[in-house]
Amino acid sequence: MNDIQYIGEWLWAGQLGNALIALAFASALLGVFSWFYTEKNVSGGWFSWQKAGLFSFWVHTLSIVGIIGLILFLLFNHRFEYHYVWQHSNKAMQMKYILSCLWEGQEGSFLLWMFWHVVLGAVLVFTAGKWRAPVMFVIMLVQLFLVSMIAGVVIELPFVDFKLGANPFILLREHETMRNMPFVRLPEYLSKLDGRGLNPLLQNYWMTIHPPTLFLGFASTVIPFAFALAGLWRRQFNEWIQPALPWTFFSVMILGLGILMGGAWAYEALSFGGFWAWDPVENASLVPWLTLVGGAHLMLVFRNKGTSLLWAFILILLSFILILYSTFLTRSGVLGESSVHAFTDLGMSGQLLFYLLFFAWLPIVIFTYNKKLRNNYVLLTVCLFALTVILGFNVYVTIGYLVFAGFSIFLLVLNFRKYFPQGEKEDGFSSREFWMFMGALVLLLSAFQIIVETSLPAFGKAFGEVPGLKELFPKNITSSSEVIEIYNAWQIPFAVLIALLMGVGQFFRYRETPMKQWLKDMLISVLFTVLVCILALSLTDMFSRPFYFLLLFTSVFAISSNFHYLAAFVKFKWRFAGPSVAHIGFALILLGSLVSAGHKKIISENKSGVVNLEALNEEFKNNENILLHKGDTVPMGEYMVTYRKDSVDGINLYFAVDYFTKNEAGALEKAFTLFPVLQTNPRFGNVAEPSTRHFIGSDIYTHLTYVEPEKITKLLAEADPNSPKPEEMTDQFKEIMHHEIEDGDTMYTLNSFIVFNGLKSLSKIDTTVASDKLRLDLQGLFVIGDTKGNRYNLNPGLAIVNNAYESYPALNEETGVKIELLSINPEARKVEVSVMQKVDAAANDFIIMKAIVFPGINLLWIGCILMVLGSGMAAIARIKKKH
Amino acid sequence: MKKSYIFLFAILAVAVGIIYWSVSNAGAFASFAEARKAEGKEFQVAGVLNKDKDMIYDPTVNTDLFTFYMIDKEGNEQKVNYKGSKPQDFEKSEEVVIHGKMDGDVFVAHKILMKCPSKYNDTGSEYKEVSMN
Repeated sequence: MNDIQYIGEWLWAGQLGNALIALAFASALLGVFSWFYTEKNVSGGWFSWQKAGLFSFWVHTLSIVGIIGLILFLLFNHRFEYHYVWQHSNKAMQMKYILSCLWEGQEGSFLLWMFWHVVLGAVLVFTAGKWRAPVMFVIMLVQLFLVSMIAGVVIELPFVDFKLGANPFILLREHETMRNMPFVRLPEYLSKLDGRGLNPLLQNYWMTIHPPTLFLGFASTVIPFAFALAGLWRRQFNEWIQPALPWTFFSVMILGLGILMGGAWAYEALSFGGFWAWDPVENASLVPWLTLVGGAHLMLVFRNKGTSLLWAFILILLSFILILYSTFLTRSGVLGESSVHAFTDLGMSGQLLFYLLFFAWLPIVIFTYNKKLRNNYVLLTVCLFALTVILGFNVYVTIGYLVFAGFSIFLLVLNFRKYFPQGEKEDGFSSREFWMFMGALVLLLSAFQIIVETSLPAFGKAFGEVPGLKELFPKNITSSSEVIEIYNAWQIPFAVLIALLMGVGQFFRYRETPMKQWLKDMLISVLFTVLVCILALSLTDMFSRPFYFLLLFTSVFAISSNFHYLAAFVKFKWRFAGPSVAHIGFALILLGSLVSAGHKKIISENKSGVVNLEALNEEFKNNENILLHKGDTVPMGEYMVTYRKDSVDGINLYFAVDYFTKNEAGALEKAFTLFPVLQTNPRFGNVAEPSTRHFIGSDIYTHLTYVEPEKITKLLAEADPNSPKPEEMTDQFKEIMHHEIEDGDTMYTLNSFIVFNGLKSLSKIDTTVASDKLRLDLQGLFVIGDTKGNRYNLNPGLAIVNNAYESYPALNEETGVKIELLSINPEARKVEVSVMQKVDAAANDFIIMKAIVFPGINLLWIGCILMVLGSGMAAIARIKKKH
Repeated sequence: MKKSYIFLFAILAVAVGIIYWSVSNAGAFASFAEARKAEGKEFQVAGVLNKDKDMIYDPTVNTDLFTFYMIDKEGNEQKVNYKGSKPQDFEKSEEVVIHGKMDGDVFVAHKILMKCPSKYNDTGSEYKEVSMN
């Protein structure tokens, strides 16, 4: 079919791109083998595996950078013949968003991830020293998997075909959703094409800075993982800790920053109604961070005391595996209907699952030092994998995997008993490392709870048919509707424990601490905390719930005791200040979330919702949204608010809402104006963006929840100079119902009910007239009732003349209801009616808005900054210590 | 007994507690038929909006009441009262998931998730945007 000569396509770019992808894949493959043989010390005579490893790494780096550069080049030149360019950009887009276009799609985000791996790899090539070969081996192995995600190659096997990855260089006219379109037959299709464009919601600076930070965070977790694997491989169980430490803290810092940026973005620019929503996508990046923080602390414990090595291994290895698990959860579509947020399924779920399982499996293989056992284990794995490929996932294969997982754990325990350094001296209760160890375990449990709750729909899919497990995880299981309460029930107690440990931990010495000294150190902070708590309790009733109070107490205690430590012991020397600063930051985040999320107040609440005629649930009387008619001033919380005017800027509609407070004389004084935004976009849908007034103590956060579509159309038309001025609406009525009804039916509008009492014939049927000359006059008998108990009769007419209908609608002025009879169906004894409601032009001019007060959110922001700063300081201090 | 075993035991106990708690409080996807059978019990129902029937949202009367009809995956239709304002572009939704429970003959929802075709992927229908004349 491809004998069409298309005009103007840059086919060379795609060929170059695919060549670069092939090169990236080949060099990663060569890298894996080269670094493997370098580590194995295999000599190739004149040939040096190490040189091959370095060569392949640089070739790989160049190809990844080349692929990214090429996509940017295509985006820059609007080459819409490429599906990725067409999908993520258009001609009207500003060039400053070109990077956002690059990583908006999955293919681009995988590229971003690979890009950070090669950047980090380049640093490691020069700094990893004697650990270079095994660490680079792991990184190249990870790259090999990632490159396959953008390969877009179809592998044909006897039983099934596999599509490997989604290729960013696929042509628009060859893309599976496009190739059957008629336009792809036109040779000159390109000249008329414009791209679909970047979602306007993503055209802001957050989209420019958040994904690169988050993906650097993801990418950085591979380094501690690689060092830990290298330690296992060389049976140098202790030595990897020292070089991996600064990287672990770097990872804690960047991943933490990426997560917090996501929260800040949600709060500032999206109308999710808060900083953190426990959405699967958010959880997926939080969980590895928690285990990484735990692992980082255990690495410190080991370095100082030589204990907790096993758990340090477990947590560090787990962190990277959890990153892969998160990627799988959010990008494979297994969460399905439980999140709107998750990415679309690009048909890579199998590949992502394989990626995850491979890197969970790899440490076990490396740890199995017994050659025979290892070979058998690998053989078993290959068999199981082949079985999966042939049979696909069914109950028996799933059971096979479960048995295999059990066997793997058994193998791990076996290896642990045989090879791992045993007989660690146990830490005493009065040593710092004991409490750090406890802290890491609490973090692990906290992560476990989040991942279990988030994964429920996936568990249902995996185990829904397995006997014994399907009772626990039935097929239709999903996260609870009240999932936030479930998270709070677990995570608040965990937070209390963490804050307590952060508070007391610093004052324990490594090894033993004299009790008397410790109590003395504690006293000041405890006194200060008690004082703050008394003050807080007397000022507000926020902390009346026991766990809220406990969290207040422990987090204030953590802040004060770490500050005390910083002042009295560290004496503000920056090299040692990192941990205290980070702890103060984390405690502030806990306190800030408790105050802001736990005590947010919806001030647009209206507890006197009009009771409808229909028997409504009690719930519908407590409204969270407020209706603002243009020009009216209504009370909202402690303010009087007026929706004053609207303005249009491009696709954004701004609604000016003035806030007034009463001054001493009792007169209203304008305090401030907020401009909540409605972004209108025919392709991506309308989106509300919040507008927030920041105070030191609290924020007032508002966003639109509803604007009449007619109003939006009108505003956009008025602002557009090219559009013809809309004619004054002559039709003042809006159809609210359209039904076929029969005698005795009742219809409900929101403020009235309408009973149909049948049709009355007004004319006698004259049988002498031919049927096509017949005129039949009918009248509908309706009774309208309103909320005040009034009843009105309404009699619209319908005439049948020459087999056609003539309608005579009737209006009831009191309720504004107009009824029109449209047709009758004598066999079914039904009448088609249209019910219209009079539209009052002024009454239509309103917005519906939600307003929430978040107290203490600034504590959260300060906490975020301090925590990131503190982790960074710790990372730098570790690098300095190393030299 | 070594301290580390006690910890291991404690961790396992908490982990089992977490799983038990999660599972016993878990939500469930269901059809309207199942939701009707267990009136008052919380369910999550996936389906599509019945675009042929009226959607009623009159904020001048009640800002937090939006009524619509939905068809679940088994093809059963159900009237739904959602507590909240009408979501933007609701009529364009491709798939709707509602959280709530049956109350008499009405499903009372407190949460709506909707998927719009254009936001998440590109289907052929979207191509209409590109003019070809």
